Amino acid sequence: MKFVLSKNKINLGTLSFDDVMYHFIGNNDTQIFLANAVRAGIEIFYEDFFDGTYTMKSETIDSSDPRFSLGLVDFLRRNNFSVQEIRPEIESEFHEIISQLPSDSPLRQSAESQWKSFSYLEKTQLLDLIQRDTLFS
Amino acid sequence: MNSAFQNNDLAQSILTALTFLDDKNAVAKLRAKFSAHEQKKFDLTSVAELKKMFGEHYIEDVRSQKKSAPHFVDDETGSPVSHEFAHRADWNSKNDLEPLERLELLFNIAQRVQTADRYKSIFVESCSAVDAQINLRLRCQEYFAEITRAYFLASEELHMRDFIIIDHMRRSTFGLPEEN
Repeated sequence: MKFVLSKNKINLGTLSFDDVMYHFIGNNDTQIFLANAVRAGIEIFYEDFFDGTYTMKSETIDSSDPRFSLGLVDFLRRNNFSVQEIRPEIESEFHEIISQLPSDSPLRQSAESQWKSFSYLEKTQLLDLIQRDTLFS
Repeated sequence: MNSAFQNNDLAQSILTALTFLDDKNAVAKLRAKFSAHEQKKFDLTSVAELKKMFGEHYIEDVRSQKKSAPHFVDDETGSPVSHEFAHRADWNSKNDLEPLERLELLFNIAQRVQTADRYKSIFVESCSAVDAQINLRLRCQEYFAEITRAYFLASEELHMRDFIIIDHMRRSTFGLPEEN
């Protein structure tokens, strides 16, 4: 899993995970914030369903816990970071569509440049709109 | 059809889509456009499908609005209250939904929670009931709560299909038109 991290609409970098490690490439302060948080242990919240009731519980986990990656993502969201997933198939779908236009087309250049600044919501909207327009026109 | 013609068509579609998103009312327009195409997907076949996914008893409980188990926040946690509030608006708890609307909402969420591009959250991904139907029910409840929370706090993180589900529900709750 790979995510774009931002705060107050400022892009801070990308966060990715392998088995027991997180990798962050980007802003220095965020790097330090993450390192301190992981060192202290990540507090996670989850719902426990037992005996007919749901109870929200909390627990502190370290990077060896299988819930670590999403726990860290959840922790960042609680700390007012925007955490948007990067989905390779969406990126490829866009590049496949756009590559059908000549490389010197101003529209292609403009679309490629706007794409980089789009949120996950906008990216999925754009692809849906293009697909819909192509299907229904 | 020659490729130049296809490219022109595609260019027009891309341009239309970009102009659309550039408009400050893009989301509102999109919502209207999307609703018109997507709205009529839920029917009796979908109800049968829901019964297969969740078990007949649960679907009958949802239809007849028999309340599910209550949610509590552990005294020592307290923090993510927005998630807990969101449970109050789901198919089990939202009093003003008609029986079929409750089932449709559950149906839409069940579709989304099983896709690869679903919203990733520890609340959903950590559901681990042994019974597959109960597990799906728990995942759907948590998924709904999480995308509702995200809708209000960080909608840019959502896939547009999740955004549309919650936005449509919010508009019907408050009697807001779909167009603005």
